Amino acid sequence: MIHDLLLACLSSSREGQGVKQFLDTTAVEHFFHPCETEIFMGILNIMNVYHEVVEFTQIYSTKPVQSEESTSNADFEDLSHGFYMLNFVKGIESALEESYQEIVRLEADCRKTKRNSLSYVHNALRTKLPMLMLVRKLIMEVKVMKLRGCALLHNLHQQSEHGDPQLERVVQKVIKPVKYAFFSSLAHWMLFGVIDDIHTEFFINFIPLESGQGSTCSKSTQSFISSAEQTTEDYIWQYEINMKQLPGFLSIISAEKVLFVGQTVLVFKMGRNPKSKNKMDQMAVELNDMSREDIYELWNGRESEFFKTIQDLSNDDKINVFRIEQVVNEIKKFVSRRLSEIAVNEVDLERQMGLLKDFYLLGRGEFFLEFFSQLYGNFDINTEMRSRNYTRAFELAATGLRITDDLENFSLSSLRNSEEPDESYDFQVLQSMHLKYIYEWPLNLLFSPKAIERYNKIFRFLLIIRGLQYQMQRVWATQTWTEKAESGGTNIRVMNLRNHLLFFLNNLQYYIQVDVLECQFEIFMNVIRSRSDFEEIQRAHTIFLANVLSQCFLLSDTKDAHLNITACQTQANPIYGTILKLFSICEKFIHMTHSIETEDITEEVVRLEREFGVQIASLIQLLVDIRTSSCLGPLSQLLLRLDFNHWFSQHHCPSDQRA
Amino acid sequence: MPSEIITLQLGQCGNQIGFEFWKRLCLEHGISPSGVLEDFATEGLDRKDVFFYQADDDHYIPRAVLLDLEPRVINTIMGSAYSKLYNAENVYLSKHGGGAGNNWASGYSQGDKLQEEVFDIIDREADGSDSLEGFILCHSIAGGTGSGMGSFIMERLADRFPKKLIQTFSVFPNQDEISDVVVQPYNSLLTLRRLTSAADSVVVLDNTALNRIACDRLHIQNPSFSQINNLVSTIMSVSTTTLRYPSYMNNNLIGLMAPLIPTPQLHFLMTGYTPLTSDSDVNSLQTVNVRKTTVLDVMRRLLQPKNMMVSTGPDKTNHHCYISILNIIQGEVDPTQVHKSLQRIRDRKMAQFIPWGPTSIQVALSRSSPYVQSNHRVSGLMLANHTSICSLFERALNQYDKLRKRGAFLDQFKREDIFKDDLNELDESRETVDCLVQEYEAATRANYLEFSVKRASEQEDPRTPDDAKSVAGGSG
Repeated sequence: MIHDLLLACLSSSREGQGVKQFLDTTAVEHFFHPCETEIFMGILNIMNVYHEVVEFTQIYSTKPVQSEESTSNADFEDLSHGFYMLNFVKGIESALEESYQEIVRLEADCRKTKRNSLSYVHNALRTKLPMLMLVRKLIMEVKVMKLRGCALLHNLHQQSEHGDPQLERVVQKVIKPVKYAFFSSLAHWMLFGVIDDIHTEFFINFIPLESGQGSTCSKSTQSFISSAEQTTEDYIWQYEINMKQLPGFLSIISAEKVLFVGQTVLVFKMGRNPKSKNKMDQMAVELNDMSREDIYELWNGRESEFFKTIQDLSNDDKINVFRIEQVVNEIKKFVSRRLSEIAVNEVDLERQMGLLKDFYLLGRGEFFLEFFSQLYGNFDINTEMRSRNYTRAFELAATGLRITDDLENFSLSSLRNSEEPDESYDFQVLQSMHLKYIYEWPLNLLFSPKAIERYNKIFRFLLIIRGLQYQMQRVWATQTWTEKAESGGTNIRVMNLRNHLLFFLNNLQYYIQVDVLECQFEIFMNVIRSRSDFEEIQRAHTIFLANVLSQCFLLSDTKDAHLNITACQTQANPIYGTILKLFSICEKFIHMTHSIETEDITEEVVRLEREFGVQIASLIQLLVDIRTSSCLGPLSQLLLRLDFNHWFSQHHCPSDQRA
Repeated sequence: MPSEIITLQLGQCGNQIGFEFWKRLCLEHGISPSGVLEDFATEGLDRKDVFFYQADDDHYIPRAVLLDLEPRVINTIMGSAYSKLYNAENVYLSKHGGGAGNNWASGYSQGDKLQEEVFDIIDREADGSDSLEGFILCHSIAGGTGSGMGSFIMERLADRFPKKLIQTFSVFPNQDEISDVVVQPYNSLLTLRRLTSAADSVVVLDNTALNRIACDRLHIQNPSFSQINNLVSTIMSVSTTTLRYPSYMNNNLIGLMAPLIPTPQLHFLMTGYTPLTSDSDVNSLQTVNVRKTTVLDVMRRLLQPKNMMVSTGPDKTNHHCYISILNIIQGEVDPTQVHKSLQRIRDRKMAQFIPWGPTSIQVALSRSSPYVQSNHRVSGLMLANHTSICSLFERALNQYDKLRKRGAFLDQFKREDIFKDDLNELDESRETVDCLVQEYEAATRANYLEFSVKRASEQEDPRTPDDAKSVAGGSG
């Protein structure tokens, strides 16, 4: 009888029917003394739990192997997928092994017709009950919370600190294969940049560009990125940290480090000259096939050593959080050191940054001067703004100054169709300019598409200032010459307004170039010069861009607000708005002076004067307000420059009596 | 190449300072005296094209025109190591070689006679540049050739090239010593008229101040011409650094001048340079301990009158003020210091500014030549438009009046065509310079704009009196 029962249990683990059938019959009542029924039911309960667990293992241990090939069957249940689940089951099986052996032993005892009481069996099995209950609990959690991937591992890790040493051992057994899976993914990613993760279980995942488009910063960029050819350069930026799967025992900082290491490896895999510009899928294959030479260059023969350290992590009984961080740090440090060595020594990062400053940040003023003079032509001709060929002017200026070598990596393009009617001001045409920069390998990690877009944002702003300044200077020259030819030929009032506008533009430019760009760039270059590791350079670069954007009042986008490190304004930037209004006054003024008819322009001048007074007053008021509300250095710098002799604050601010 | 500038050097003084200027440029750009690029200077970012052009055989040739009526200085130049530097066709010496006899009128009429030959050279040079931006004229206002012929050429340039800028480096005579040129007040006044009407910007190099600086700051007892010219060449070269090296602004003459010159009349600029070392020989290889000058030091010193290269008389009423300031700072500059210095200068009220418009101290950080050793960590040049410069013109007027009252030395002027009939030219020049002084005086007052309107309306009176009045009323 007992033998039957045990057999049923064992067989149930194969077919899952035995015990039920056993219960259906009236055998229990026939063969057991009523006092023993209770004990028997106890055994049955234990068996049920056991059975439940075994059933789970059966479903998931076999299923994935088949369902992976034919994904149509995969709608069985969501959590049926995954490598981690498979390993989880493996772990459970190994934990169950002990109780299985116990049942086998009991069964063997029966066969040997040893006389064992029902209580004996019950007692023997009951020792396994806590373990079974724990395992069942784990399974329930997984089922209820639909845990999978690294999240599953995290859950197990949380359970692993169990007070009962026996149960702790059980959890360790369960966790072991899962942990192994995790660390092998980690090792593959960190050392070879490979993610073999079809079920997106790892905490770093690959988001193809088409779907990930929403994450790009602004509307204007979207059009750009989707239109730009998808080069290998963009490839690495599609790896992101998947917060859902980030195990709690790994901090975000560490996760970012892991991501960074993997990306670096990918960059090395791409090699120095990414010639292929194929589509994604092919690229993924290609990357895998690519010769590993460049990776060797990165690891410098230490990859097996690191591989072993990661493997060692999985051999630990528990997940040692500190140890993981330590290893991640160690590898990251090594990688970024290597990378910065290569970046600084071979690619001459300083020179690259210098070029970037020269062109994105208009450090080469003479080049942009030439650009505008190509654009606007001679003094006498005023070509229509829309008909101008920016790209050509850019190239001509480069040849004119004989700096085509420096500019070989830059190209200017206009993103907007020239037909678009919504350009109320000429300078807004410049808003659509886009300067493309082909960076040198392996600087891919610095110039993400987002970073390039930020550079372009600054670039456009500076270009507008520069363009208006150029035109204002031409007005100055024309008026000076008119006055020379015929004394009194130019209205003093016009000249006065011109001086004010030019003063505003000049000082805004001085502020941005000296107080903002020079200062921030100096800080950034010092980081590079200090031979720090690459991640620090990367971080300094991000901070550099964020600071420049915020100090140029360009951080109007709330999405970018989290990058805003020094400043605290989050809404659409009112200062930027005012500056744009001032730009439009400058432009109206330029147009006014171009109209050749010497009709009475006094009215227009008075109007513009008043407008300028209002706007500059509000700008200064804004700067004063923000300055007093917080201790922002840069704003007071602009204020100091604009209001150096207290002219604007005295004449426009108190109340606009004059205007 | 873009924004080229042609340099014209006239007369003894003009050629001397011009020569120093070119020597200096060659040194800074790594060009040998024969015009060949030195081996160490092949990879420069500098813009040699602005002042030089490249001949077919890769020689760099200055865009310079050398003019004189007497051969002495030009012969010295052509006898020096730099003789091969210049384009020989650009050197013009009058055939008689007799000079202008320190007589403005003689120089002026000789300019008239020789204008065809001179402008052949200038036109050719202008045609040779892609987009000529302007001319730089080096001369003195006291002598004969530089002042007289210079005046004539300036007028003609303004006519022929109405859309090109004319900047001059004009050397004003030393007031502290008795000049051997007795008609100097006449010459100065007549030249000042042209500087007022024909030039777009005049950098005043006052020999009085230059000598004083040489004595006081450099501790040279009797400064020689070459020592003074060294100062001048420093000023000339530094004031053009933003044109010759990549920088984010002030990249052309317009960009340099537009912020400095608010109204066309107020175009006389002062300069200041610091720090000056007694060992001003730029060739010196001895590396003196580099002094830890800071940006603030430099900017503060630049505002001190004793560093000014213009000797303005004592400002008794203390009403003179800066119209605009541009500081060109070179060397290892910590950009954050610029702001701090500006703040300090404003807090301490170190400079007084015009009451009729916004101004500030603009600071251009400029690269300096890698080939020239500097003894100082930071050095700076100030280009300033200051109303007190009118004291220089007042002085010239006073001296003129003294001479004119006695009617002295007028005979040699009457011999020339321009004074054949009468001396109106002198009277008109006096009037112009007097107006200039008035203009600068007016610029110290808050109602300067109304003054300008009034002046303009007086000149335009017959044409549009109503218009002018309405403007005047509008600004009240």
